[in-house]
Amino acid sequence: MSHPLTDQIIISGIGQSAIGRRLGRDSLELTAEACLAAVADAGLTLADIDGLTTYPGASQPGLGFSGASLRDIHDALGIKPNWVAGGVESPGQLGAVVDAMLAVAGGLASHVLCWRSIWEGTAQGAGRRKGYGSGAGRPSGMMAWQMPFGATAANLAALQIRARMLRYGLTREQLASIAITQRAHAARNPAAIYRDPLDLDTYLSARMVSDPLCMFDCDIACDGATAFVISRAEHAAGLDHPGVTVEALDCAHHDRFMWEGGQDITRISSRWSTIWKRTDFTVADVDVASLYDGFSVFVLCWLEDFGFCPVGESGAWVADPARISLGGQLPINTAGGQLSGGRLHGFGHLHEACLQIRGEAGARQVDGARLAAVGVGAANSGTTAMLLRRA
Amino acid sequence: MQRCPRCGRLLQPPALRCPYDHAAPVYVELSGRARVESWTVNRHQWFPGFPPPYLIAFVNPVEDQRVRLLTNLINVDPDVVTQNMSVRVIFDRCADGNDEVFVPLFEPER
Repeated sequence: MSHPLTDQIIISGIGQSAIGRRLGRDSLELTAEACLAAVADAGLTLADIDGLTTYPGASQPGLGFSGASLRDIHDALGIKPNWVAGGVESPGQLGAVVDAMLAVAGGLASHVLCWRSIWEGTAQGAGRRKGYGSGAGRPSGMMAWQMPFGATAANLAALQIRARMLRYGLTREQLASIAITQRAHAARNPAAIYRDPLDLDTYLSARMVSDPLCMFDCDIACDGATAFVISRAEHAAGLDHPGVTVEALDCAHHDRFMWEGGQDITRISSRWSTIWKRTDFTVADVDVASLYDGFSVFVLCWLEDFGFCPVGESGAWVADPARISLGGQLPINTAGGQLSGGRLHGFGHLHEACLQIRGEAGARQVDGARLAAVGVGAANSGTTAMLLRRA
Repeated sequence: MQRCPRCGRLLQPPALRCPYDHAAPVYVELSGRARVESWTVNRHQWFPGFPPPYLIAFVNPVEDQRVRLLTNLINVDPDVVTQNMSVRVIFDRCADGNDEVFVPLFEPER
């Protein structure tokens, strides 16, 4: 079985800017650094780029949520696109990558540059993490049902953890496996932000952000940009590295785009992933997984949504960190994820999966990685699930 | 809150159409009684005017346990909050410019 995109597109180039807690650099220049790296990696020049796509674009200004809009990069790099798309209303952050794939497969463009840039570190300054919506006047939409109660995403993740504790017997010790494992992986990634080992005692005694969610369950606000080039499949012959293609994709979101709008608050979505109906591979074939970790608990949700374990059993499944560590049954978030590597907002997950499939992940390479699962997004944002393999 | 006249579900937040069967919902009066589904003690100051700690919760109205409201639990010690604890709405009257706003908070039923 072949996904309609598989034979038509490749991820030809990947690029990342410097990543840091607070780099103090211009966010457009930082974004351009990632974009130029991806174009060069694809063996192309800016003149070859004929499509642009980004998430979230200019739609959410303030607090560093977007480092550069589509038009910023269009203008700054002198791109002459035949097609563009940017915005926040997509199947999660990777919706921008899906758009690029569809545009190339549909013949609208041959080489689409796609990026996600974030500079929450510098934009929010040295103070404590601020809540989205701060100082923005009367909240509207989803925020109108959240801000009057002083609630942010961290609180909603905490409510999800508590609900999993009550229904499935999840423990903090089980949840700790996610942060501890990813920190160990980050130690093998020179670009990760926090690389010192994390042990269970430190985790259990950490400052509570929103009980039972502690600081190690939260991703790290940072500055950084990640970019990809999506090209027509025949461009693979011109690369000095393996092209990566998408074996299967799944973008559906049948709940309302808000945390409390789903039927089940213990999950990201009330809808089962249908990705295994679109491939001959099975869940047992996955060698490495990049699972969105804006908060640690989302990894548990993604493990269940992909079917690595039954719903409700993810806590017990990860209780022994060896299973999800390098050398284990399913190494997850091998670059450290957002918990230790920095909040690159889903694009870092795809970047790491591409490195693994290309065999270029260095000290954290999974031996013989052939199939990577990528799951990005959460209940309020929508989601994209991908399976990646060599083209 | 809104109720769907066809399937009987309560809807939160309000919508133009029921997400389950697309019927036009109508506003109905409720008892104001609910049960706690999940809760958290927030310890971080996210917004001006919200000094921690405070309790944030999902509560399910007794009229339809499938729907949930995000709210604050007040007048309660965090250590005594339990799953399915019975709570009752208490409206916090606020001013936003010239507008009156009534924010639905919940406290233990006594």
